[in-house]
Amino acid sequence: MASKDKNIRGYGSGSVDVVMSVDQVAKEAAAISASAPKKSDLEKLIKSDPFLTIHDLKAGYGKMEILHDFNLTVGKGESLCLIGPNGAGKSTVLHSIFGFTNIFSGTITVDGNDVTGLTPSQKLSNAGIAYILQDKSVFPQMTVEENLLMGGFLKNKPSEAKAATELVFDKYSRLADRRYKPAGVLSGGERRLLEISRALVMQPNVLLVDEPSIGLEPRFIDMVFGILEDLQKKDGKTIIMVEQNAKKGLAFADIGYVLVSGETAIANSGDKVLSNPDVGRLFLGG
Amino acid sequence: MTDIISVKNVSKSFGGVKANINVSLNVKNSSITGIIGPNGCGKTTLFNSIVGYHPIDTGAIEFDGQEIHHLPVGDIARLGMLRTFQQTRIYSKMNCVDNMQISVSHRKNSNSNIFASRKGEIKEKAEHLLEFVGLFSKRNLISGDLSFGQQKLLEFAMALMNDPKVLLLDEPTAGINPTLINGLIDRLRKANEEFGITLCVIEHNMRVIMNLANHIYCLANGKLLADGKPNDLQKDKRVIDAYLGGH
Repeated sequence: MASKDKNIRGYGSGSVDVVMSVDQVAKEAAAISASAPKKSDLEKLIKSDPFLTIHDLKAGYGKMEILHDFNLTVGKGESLCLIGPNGAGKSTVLHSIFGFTNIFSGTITVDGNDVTGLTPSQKLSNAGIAYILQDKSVFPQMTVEENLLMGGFLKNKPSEAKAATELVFDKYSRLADRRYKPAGVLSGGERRLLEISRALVMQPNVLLVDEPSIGLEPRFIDMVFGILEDLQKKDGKTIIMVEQNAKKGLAFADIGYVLVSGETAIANSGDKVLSNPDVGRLFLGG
Repeated sequence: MTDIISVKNVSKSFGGVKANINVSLNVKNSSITGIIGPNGCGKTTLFNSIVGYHPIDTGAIEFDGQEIHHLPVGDIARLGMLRTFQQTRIYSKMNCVDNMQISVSHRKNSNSNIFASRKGEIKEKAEHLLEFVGLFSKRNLISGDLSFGQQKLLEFAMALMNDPKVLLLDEPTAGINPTLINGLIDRLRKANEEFGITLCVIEHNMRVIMNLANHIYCLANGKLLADGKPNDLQKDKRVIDAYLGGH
């Protein structure tokens, strides 16, 4: 796993010669979707019992349905990466798990418990699910420590948030060294580390990570994926990720799903999705 | 080739933070010039200084041989230099054609024809450019309903409505699917080759910038670290250490 990650640095390399229009990609992707994986295929991809499962979900914003009978399953301590064109509904999957969307039908279960109807704050405090925002979500004027304490505002007592914050500082000396500095002075990579750590304050089992690479320089991309790998492998966190830096995301994740127009067109191990020539041409830039 | 932008010994601080220190660089006319460097190294500050978003502390900036660093944003835009942003800035409740039509340039208007009706001509140009970026079939859709990648294409087309001489693009491909990135690069190259627009591009995606740019500058800690052709810069130890990461 570690050696595999080293093959893809930053955003990866390669040519830019495959030029396809949005419509052309959509058309060819629709053809692939015809042989979309079944629920039983998805279950074969996980190595342990299902931990987080989405069953036949119809969800969207307002009255608009974006996900159509969407299914997903991931085992405890496993990682899954969603890739696909802009507007395919990848972020909507994360939003639905966390409770930001309108769910029209279907269920979401975590560790056997139905969490479909819980609010985001209930998800965070009771269901062990944390959502790591896409970008620029630190409070720049507040110190690193205050940012982490904000991550614990749902705790019953401030002292519990304080204790969890100390655990984060024990884990990441880079943040501990800067605990009294305003978050605004952190580098891009440290800021992303702070965003991830702030989510850890609630001690979640499931991390929903939205585009960890976005806006980051190549070195920090490798660093952030190293941190996520550590959280998965050492701390047993279950990670569901959306990543436009699809090569890096697929190299990282145990399982890869390709989403097209709100449905899963391809699902396989991360490696197999990464080496699938159709995926390369349509979604990885050739 | 002559230089269309000359940045000469420019420094810019915010409070105690030195964002740009004695930066000099040249953008050749009709070139595609790349700017890379770590997060927080001062790339966006440099863009903001060039387009007149804030005054510079010391140094000079010339556009087409004319000093511009004392000019306000609007005057610099009217000279033919525009920028786009990391996050898209479109009018999300209007449709694509309307977004295009309100982006039309007024820099070529003289006092006599400013009230003349150019409506038909503008609409035709808007539709032509929407076709150029591949959004013609979406032209009557509300722009806020487009995907993020399509909004980026729309923003690029809106900039083209002004017939700019120079476009400064701040991370044009961030958040776009890799295959659609290729489509955007193809359009950027065509805008450069067919319309003769000089492009100056900030990017973190090496696949993009190494294939797109003729010449690349790398900033680090507010200073110019290195510059050169893409292949040379990729092998430059200073750039690898400061930015690209170890091999």
